[in-house]
Amino acid sequence: MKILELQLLAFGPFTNLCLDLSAGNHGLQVLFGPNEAGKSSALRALRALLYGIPNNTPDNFLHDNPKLRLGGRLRHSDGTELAVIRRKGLKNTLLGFDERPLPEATLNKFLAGVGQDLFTTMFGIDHPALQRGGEEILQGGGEVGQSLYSAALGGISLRQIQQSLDQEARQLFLPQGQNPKINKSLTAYRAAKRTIEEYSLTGSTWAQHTHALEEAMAERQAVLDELANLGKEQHRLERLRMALPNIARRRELCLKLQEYHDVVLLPPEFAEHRREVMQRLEQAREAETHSRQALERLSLERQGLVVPEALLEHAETITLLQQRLGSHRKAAQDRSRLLGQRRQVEAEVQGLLAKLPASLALGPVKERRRQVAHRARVQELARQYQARVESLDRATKDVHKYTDQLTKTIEALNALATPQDPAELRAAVARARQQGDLEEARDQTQRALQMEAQQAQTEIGRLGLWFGTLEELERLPLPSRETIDQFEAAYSKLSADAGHLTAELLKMQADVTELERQLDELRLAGAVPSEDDVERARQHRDQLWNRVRRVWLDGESTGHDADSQRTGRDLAEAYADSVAQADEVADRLRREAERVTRQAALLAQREKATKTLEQLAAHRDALDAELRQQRQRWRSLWQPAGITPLSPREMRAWLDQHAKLLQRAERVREYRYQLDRLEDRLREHRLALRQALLHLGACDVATDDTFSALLARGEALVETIDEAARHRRELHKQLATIERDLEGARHDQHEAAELLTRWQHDWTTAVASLGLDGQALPVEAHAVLEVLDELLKRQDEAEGLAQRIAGIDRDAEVFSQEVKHFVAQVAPDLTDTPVEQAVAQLHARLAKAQTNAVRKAELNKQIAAQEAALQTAQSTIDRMAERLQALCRQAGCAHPDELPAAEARSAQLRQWQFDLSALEAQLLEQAAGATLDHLIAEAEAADADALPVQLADIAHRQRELESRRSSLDQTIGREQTILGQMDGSARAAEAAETAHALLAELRDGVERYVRLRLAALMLRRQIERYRVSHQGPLVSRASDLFAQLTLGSFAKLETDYNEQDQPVLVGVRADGRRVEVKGMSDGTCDQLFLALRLASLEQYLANNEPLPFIVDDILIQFDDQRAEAALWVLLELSTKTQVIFFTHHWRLVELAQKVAVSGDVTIQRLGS
Amino acid sequence: MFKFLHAADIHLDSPLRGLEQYDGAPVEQIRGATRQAFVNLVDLAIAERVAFVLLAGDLYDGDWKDYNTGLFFAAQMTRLREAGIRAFLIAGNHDAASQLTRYLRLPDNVTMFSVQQPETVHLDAFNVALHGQGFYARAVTDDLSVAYPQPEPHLLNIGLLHTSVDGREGHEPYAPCSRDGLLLKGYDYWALGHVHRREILHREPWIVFPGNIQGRHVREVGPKGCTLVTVQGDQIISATHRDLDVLRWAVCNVDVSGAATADDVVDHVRQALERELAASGGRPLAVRVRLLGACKAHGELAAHHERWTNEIRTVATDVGNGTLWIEQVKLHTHAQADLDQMLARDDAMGDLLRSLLDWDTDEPFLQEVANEFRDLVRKLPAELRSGDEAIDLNNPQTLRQAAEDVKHLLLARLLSQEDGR
Repeated sequence: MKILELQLLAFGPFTNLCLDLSAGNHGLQVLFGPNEAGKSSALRALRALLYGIPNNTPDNFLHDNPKLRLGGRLRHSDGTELAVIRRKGLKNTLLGFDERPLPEATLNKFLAGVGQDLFTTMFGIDHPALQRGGEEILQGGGEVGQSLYSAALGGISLRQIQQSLDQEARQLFLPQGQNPKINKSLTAYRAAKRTIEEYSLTGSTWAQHTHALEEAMAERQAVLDELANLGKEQHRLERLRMALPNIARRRELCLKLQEYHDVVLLPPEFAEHRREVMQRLEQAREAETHSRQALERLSLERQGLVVPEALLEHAETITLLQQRLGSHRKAAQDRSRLLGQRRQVEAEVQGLLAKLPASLALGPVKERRRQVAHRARVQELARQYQARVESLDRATKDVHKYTDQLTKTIEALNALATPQDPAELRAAVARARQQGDLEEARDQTQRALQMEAQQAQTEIGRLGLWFGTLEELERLPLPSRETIDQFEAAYSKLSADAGHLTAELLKMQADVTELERQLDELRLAGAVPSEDDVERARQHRDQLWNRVRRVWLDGESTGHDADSQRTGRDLAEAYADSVAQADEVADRLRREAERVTRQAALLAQREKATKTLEQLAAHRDALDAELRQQRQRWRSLWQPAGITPLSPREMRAWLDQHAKLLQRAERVREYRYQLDRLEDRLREHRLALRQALLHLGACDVATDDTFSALLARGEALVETIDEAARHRRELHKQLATIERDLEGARHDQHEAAELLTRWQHDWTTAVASLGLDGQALPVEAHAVLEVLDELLKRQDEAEGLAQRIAGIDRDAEVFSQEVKHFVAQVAPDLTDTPVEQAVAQLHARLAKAQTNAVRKAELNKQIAAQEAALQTAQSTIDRMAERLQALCRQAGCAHPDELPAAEARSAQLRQWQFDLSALEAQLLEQAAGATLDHLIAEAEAADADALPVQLADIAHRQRELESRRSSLDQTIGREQTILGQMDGSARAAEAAETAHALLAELRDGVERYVRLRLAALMLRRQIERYRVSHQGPLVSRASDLFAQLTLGSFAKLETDYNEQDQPVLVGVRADGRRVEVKGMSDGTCDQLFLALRLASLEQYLANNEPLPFIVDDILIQFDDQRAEAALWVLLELSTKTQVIFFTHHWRLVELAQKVAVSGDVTIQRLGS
Repeated sequence: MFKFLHAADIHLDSPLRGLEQYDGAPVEQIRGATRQAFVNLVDLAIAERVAFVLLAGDLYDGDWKDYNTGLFFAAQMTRLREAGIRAFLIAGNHDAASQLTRYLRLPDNVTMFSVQQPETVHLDAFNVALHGQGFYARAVTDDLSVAYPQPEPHLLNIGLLHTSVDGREGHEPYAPCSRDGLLLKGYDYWALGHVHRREILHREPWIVFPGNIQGRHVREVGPKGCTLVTVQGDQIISATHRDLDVLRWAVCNVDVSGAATADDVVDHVRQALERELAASGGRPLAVRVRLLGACKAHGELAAHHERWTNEIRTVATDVGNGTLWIEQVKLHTHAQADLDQMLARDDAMGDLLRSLLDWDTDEPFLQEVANEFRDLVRKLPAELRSGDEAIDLNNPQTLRQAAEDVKHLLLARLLSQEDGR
């Protein structure tokens, strides 16, 4: 199939571009698309036309997805043609030129069953694929099968596929592994199986434990029953054993009770009662005696007491008099003290009067009291005096202060300078400020510039090979980087070749030397006979024989020469010798045939080696010449720049360095420009600032002041002017305030003076009454007032004292009269006794009478009490005697003295009765429900001596049974626990589930493993089969192509065996040297791969419908000669199928043009 | 009116087969599925207040030895006893082989029919006569039904029988008999067991296989449970199926024809699984996914089967919210490219395909293959070396099947851009 036309109707960057690919039979169509011209789009378009536009196409950036259209005309090898349109979509994307859908199968015939994947791999090759192919061959060591098969499949990495198959399989299973999936599953599966075993319960185990449990339970029941019976018997015997002594004691008691049958049983409280009655009788008798004695004593004392009734009647009056006597005595004492006091006060009054002004001292006391009444007014005025004087004083001081301030402020105002207008300067400063720190910016730029320039200079120095300025450097005519790359490639190739050659040369020289040595060795071992030697010996023999014949048959003389002297005998011997010698030589030749052939071989080898050596030397000379030429060209390349170049690699570094310097030069220019602009601005602002300053009279501004100095100066000046204006405003404000304050102070002064005048008038009036004139100070007025007060107080005191003395005298007289009158009435014997004494006597008599009266009343009360007690005792004695009689009757006693004995007997009887009932209660308890008689009968029937033995037996049996029961309990517990654990658990079943899950996992793993391994084995088998059946023709064809592509550097390809005995590809040099793949350069490997690819493709084309071979820029790393060779090879391929060659590189187009001279090559350019 | 339950083939503690565990699979939900299903059966009997329960054989798996299974069964029977429900059992082929039946003591509400000869039990309260005989050996090849007694007049006659009738695919032909033979007996209801697929062989009189109560592998798909029979007077008026299964099995065929990428395939599968899930009524599902059709994605699927199986499992976990278990993903897709056409081509690819056809006559190669797998085979457990689930690597058929997959695997790798080049 051939693509006659590719129409890029709407695809990628193209609109309605038609590529005519019809030229020639198949033809080599070169499509040149510089970068961005859409080479890749065109390449994709080719595939898309045949196989559809991919869903995620990148070619929809200009035309929307639904609008994408490609067209094409195809021609089958049988001549049929097909014109189709391809649109983007999910269905019906193939259309005829009439836009009607065509079935996709329409293309089948033209594509001959090649799917998109296969088309891409087999009929397309790009540079990465070429490199991968080369790399693959290198990695595989040129293994024939893999190399051939890989090339046949379009360069697939079989090695990688095999490795990935192997690796995936290893991740699944390793015979000795632990971690691969299958190995792990196997381990887990075995563990699950063990778990099943572990948790599985067998039926017999269950039955066994159930049976054991049931048996133990039954036996336990039997043991319990027996224990119960034993317990009962033990209890009965114990009971009897305990009852026996009680029964004996009971019998004894019954006998004693029999004896006491006639004893009166007294109530238990009888004895107590009897003792109490007797005690109370005794007590009553004692009380009777005591009362009688007390009555006698009390009556006697009462008779001795005397009580004067008359005195007692006046008891109140006497007490009153006694009290008044105290007051009377005290008043007498007071009177003499008061008299003394009155005398002293009167003396003080006289003293005070002397202190007063004469006018006052002589006046009556009443007048003095009126004067004192003025005191409040005088005091008030005195208080006001100080305030009036002080306020006047203050006001006067204020007036002085404000006047002073006013003067000072006016002076300050006058001292201020005249105001100025700073507007222009302010504006200039603001504009300058807006520019920022211009000087710093300028300095920085300057520094950067200097540094850059300096750096550039240093780098130029370091650059080497050339010296000059930066500007000159920029203008240097230098070769391009690409040219250098080309030179480097050429150099490296040349030097590599030279290296190879030298190595080979050395090897060859060594070979020759070795051969020489071996030859010498042979010769030293003795001359090696040659065919020539035999020939010579035989000739000598034959000559002699001829002579012998001539002598013998022709009678010739034996000698007409040197030998003629010899006798015939000599001749015969000579002949015999010659025969022997010839035989000897021939024998030796035969015997030493090996040495002979060896020598011959060595000689031949030496000859060959020497020739090769010459060839190599010639080759090397040629190469050296070429190298020299190359160097010359290299140097001339740099001539225009005046540079003697180093190696291309170094020069490339040099160019990098140069490029950096160019950048630096650019920066230097940039800095200079910036610097100029900054300087201009600086000048402009300095001028403006300076003028504004001068206008404000700053005459000291120098023409060369810096910008920052001017700016600072301007700002300072503006600040100073503003400050002066502000100060003036403040002073004016202060002046107004001071004037206002001064006015106020003057007003206050005037008011204070007036108030003082009015006070003086009031004061004069007020002090006149104190005998003082208006000039007197308030202090003086105070002093007079104080003396007056004191005087009045003393006079009042003297008068009070006189009145009290008179009162005392009056009271004493009244008291004496009253006493005399009373004594006459009550105690006439005291009439002549002085008043005080009489009252005291009366009082003493009254006290005595009162004491006696009290004692008598007391005695009367005690006598009455004793009489009552006596009566009570007598009645108790009667009652108790009666009760004693009753008790005797109750106990059947004739006399109370017999009562204690009766009580003792009764108590004894009671005790025995109590003991009996306690015993019987105990026995009833021991009878455990049976009657007493039954118990007694049972006890009498039992053998008391056998009881302990029987009980011991029972206890022993019980212990045995208890121990058995405990052991049975343990058995039951154990079995129940075991059976409880057999609970129908699903653990074994769950483990079985896990095991089956693992089986599934295993199955899956095994199936995958089998497939992976089988795939690897089958692929290996196929590769080997392919090699066996295709190696001959493919290698042969590839060999030609390889020679062509390597420009004869390699003469051919051959197969050989490597150390593992695998067939591998080797290159053969023109001189027959074999080069293994690993000895080939990367480029040569790429060419080897290309040769194999093309050979396989040709083989395919020979048997199948041809499809276009799409080549995408594979030659970019070939040098021109090899690229040209490759183009020739492709041209050759284009006789078998269409070859479409895409390239970005004009160089390749040029080469193609060279090739086009003699072939079907069309060159088209994509885009404009 | 009364009801009774008819179930069979309980296979208690028989593990589910073929379910490889993976993250997101509903492992916990379906643990002990056969037990859960059996508990469901007892729950149903109690809830429906049935008169009695008939279990027509195969309570246990024949080779299962854990007596705990028997104890579990006994415990469930005790639950029936507490509800006053009697149970009637016959031994199936599995039970005859099982050691569990030997020691098991069942509560007194359970009656096990003799294995020696047919027995009849009369349930006077319901006017019912039950006839039955269990398997005396693992393989009973006689027609047991022949010896069953004649129906008793005026009673509802029910026969319990473990049988394959006249043969059912996938089931051993034990106790063979014919449908007509059973009909001739004149019983009202034949409660059959052994065949795991539910099947009503005849109505009025009834011959019923209730199927097993829980599917255990992918060949036992669909709802599983028991038959609830309602009797009015002396007439059976209905026999309806009731679901008991805990996990349902399904085979989900997904046509992925034309899928361009493996991701598209996964999308198709997602939709198919959503449909499948909607039909399962919220039960956990074990699904075998079969991918069918010609598609571009085939190469990728074949080359990385494990990866795409995992993708599908992830989607299933997502869709099923943890109730879907993807048992396997089977690839029945093929590439759009015509393999036959490729096979005919005279190039390296055609060569490869041809070499994949004749390998099984290549003796040295077969020997190489045998050597390759010797270590593996030696290590595999017995279950994988023989039996239903075995992978017999010595069997050429196994290898041929694998070779078919290998063909796709190799083609895909050779043609796929990412890995091959």
